[in-house]
Amino acid sequence: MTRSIWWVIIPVLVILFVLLGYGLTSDPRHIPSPLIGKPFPQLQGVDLNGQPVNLGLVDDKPTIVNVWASWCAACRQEHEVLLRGARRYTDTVSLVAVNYKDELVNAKRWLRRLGDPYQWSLHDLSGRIGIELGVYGVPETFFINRDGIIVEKISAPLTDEKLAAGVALITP
Amino acid sequence: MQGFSTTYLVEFGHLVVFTAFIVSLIQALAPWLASRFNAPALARSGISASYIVLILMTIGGAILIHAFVTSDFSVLYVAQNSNTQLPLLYKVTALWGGHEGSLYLWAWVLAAFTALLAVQGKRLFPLRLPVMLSVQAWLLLGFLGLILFLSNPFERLLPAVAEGQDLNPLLQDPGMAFHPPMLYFGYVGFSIPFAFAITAMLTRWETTLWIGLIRRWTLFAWIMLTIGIMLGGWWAYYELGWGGYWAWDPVENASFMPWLLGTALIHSITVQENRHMLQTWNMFLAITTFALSLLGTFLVRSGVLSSVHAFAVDPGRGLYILIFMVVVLVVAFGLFLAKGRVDTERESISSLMSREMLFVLNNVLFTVLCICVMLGTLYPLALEAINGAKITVGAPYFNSVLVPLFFLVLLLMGFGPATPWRKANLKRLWARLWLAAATGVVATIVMFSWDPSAHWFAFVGTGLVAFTLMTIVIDSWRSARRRSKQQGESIPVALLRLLGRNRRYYGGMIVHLGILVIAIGLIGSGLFRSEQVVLMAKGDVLEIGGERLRFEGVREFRKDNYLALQGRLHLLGTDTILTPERRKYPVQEAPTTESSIHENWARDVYVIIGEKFKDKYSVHAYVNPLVQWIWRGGLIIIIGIGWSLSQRLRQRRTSESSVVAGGAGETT
Repeated sequence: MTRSIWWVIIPVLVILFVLLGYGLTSDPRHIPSPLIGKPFPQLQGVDLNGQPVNLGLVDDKPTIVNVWASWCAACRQEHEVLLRGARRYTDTVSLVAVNYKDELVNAKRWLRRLGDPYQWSLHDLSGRIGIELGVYGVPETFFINRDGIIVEKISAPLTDEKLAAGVALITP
Repeated sequence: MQGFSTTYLVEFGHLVVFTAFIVSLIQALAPWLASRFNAPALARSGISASYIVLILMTIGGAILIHAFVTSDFSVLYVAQNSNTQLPLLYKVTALWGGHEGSLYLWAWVLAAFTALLAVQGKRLFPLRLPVMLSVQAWLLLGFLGLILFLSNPFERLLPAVAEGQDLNPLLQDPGMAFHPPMLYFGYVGFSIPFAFAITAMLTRWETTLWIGLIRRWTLFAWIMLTIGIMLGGWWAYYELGWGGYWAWDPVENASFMPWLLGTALIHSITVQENRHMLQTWNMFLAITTFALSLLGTFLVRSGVLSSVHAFAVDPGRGLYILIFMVVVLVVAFGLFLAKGRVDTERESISSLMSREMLFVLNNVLFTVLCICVMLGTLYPLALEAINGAKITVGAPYFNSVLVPLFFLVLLLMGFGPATPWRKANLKRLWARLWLAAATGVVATIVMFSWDPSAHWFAFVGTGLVAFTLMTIVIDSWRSARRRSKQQGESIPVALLRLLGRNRRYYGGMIVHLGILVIAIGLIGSGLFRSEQVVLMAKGDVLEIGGERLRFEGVREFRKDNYLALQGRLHLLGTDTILTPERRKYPVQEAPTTESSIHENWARDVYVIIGEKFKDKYSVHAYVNPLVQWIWRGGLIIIIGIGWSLSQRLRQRRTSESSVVAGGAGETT
């Protein structure tokens, strides 16, 4: 056996194993948002009751913006988490929402049945706000710190742990 | 209601598989024990062990299927993957619908192959068999360990739930039901050449003595993998509703890599059978092909790469498979580096223009193709590891890198069979090839004048397909004519006799023909597809790719467990009404689309219905030329492999030292 082939096979195997090992530790479904580290865009709209609202920092508190829709099954999954979270963090953070591409009736019925953790939900029927925020699937959640900077974005159903971790990032 | 006995049946199944684990351990240790205690009889126990393992694994599998058929939701895996509403066929195939069950299937296939190997080995290579069975047993142990300790399909869910979760409606399709087993037969089949190579290195067994034996195993594994890949594409085309059949998704690539190297292996085996060369290379290929099968299993089962195949991911299992793979690969390649050269090449390439040289080029090409696929598949992972960037490598990379290489493969496919072993006489080669070459040039010109604006792939591809097709036709014609002169038979009779006589060679040519037919389908559907998305109201006519579709409105109805919106489009000039559907399953999240397809040999008209906007509906229509050729080509390949395998070894000798396979086809 010529020695030269060692220098091919061994590095290839080592690189392969290291790569795959690394792959196990990272989540391929986690996609960083280009918005992280940037100020949250100032967006206007109306809520489900037709009242004008401003998306961004709410009540000058660190803010969580959750994007949801009544047609999204995964949102139902995380709804419990949000209800618990809204009670637990009510003093420290504001929780608002973007109701994404949803019929008004369905959205209202959903909140009436399952409970409403949000201060308000901006009604984004056309998905225009969603485009501004780079939403590509619901649910998505933005964590904004006191300076109005997006610190974290989670593109998956929240869990209690994820929510707590996000809150810890934006509260001093 | 589950009775007392069925409740315990599942526990019994669990116990049976645990027993299989222990018997495998005996099988794995048998050769070592035999030499340790100097008791050759112990080594032979591996043979019985392999049968027992297969029987036990079959019982375990049958018990799982029984749990599915009787909807025993006290079994967690059954509750997760089946429900009472499921048709019987899908209850059975739901066994491999999830992670645990598909690993079980993997292990069962491995046990089955091992038992078959024992049957063959008892007669043909009794002395090496225990070592080989031991190699197989170590592999099986790896998978059984995973099944028993980390992903146990026998796990109970107590108290049982009343109803199981729905099997994803997309998976309720015959194509999908048999796609995974076929792939697994392919992946696992490559473990046999692997076991031969490892055994050869451990026992210093000359490659020449066994290379003929792995040919059939390799062909079998290869055809299963081919069928699996084709079924996957077929299912994607008919069920997923995006008009395509192959997306260069990581999981698709995972099955494509062993396919490419397996193809190389089949060809290099032929070289070694005819000329005493490439021994070490064959050894390397046998190991690497199986290594890629393991890599494929890892990529699919660990969720390391972002893929449309959304499998449940558990990092523990991924880590286990990774460690298992590292051990297998380190041992295998370590052995290869230390003892890979078990015999020396007695011949070498004497001329650049010889069949063996073209075979070597074929191997180089397939290896390069495989490396390119691997690069594209793992590149996103590498980049993320280095600088955290998230990218996807998609079709543009794969098409622009791989298609030209496949063109070279086509070219070789034309030249190879026409070129004799050892050294070609250029004049005679030209005499054989000029007509085919001329046909290729004419085809390119015809293609160009038909559509000068097409991608250059179209011109080159068409020319090469025509060239290679002609070489096969001319070669068969010449051989048939020669035989008809010698034997005084008519030419058709001579051709049939020829096909029957030299099944290996002509089986291979039929496979080549199938590949060409697929190539035609790929060129047509890949380069000349028309696609349109339009809003249509009743009475509107859509013109696309020379076809005209008139929108006749929609119907809404409720059926079984879904709500359907059905569009009706009249394909003008025929009686056909295309009826694409959009279905909403109340329990499922997203609506599913059911495409409607009108197919003939020239093109598929493929229609999907989308959302409603005011009084119009969005209609997504494709005209995919020559798609049916792809599936037909797949059938031709199956026929060709079957034909090739139907040739009995001419000299079947039982002595280990004199196994020589029948001569490969040669026309000079």
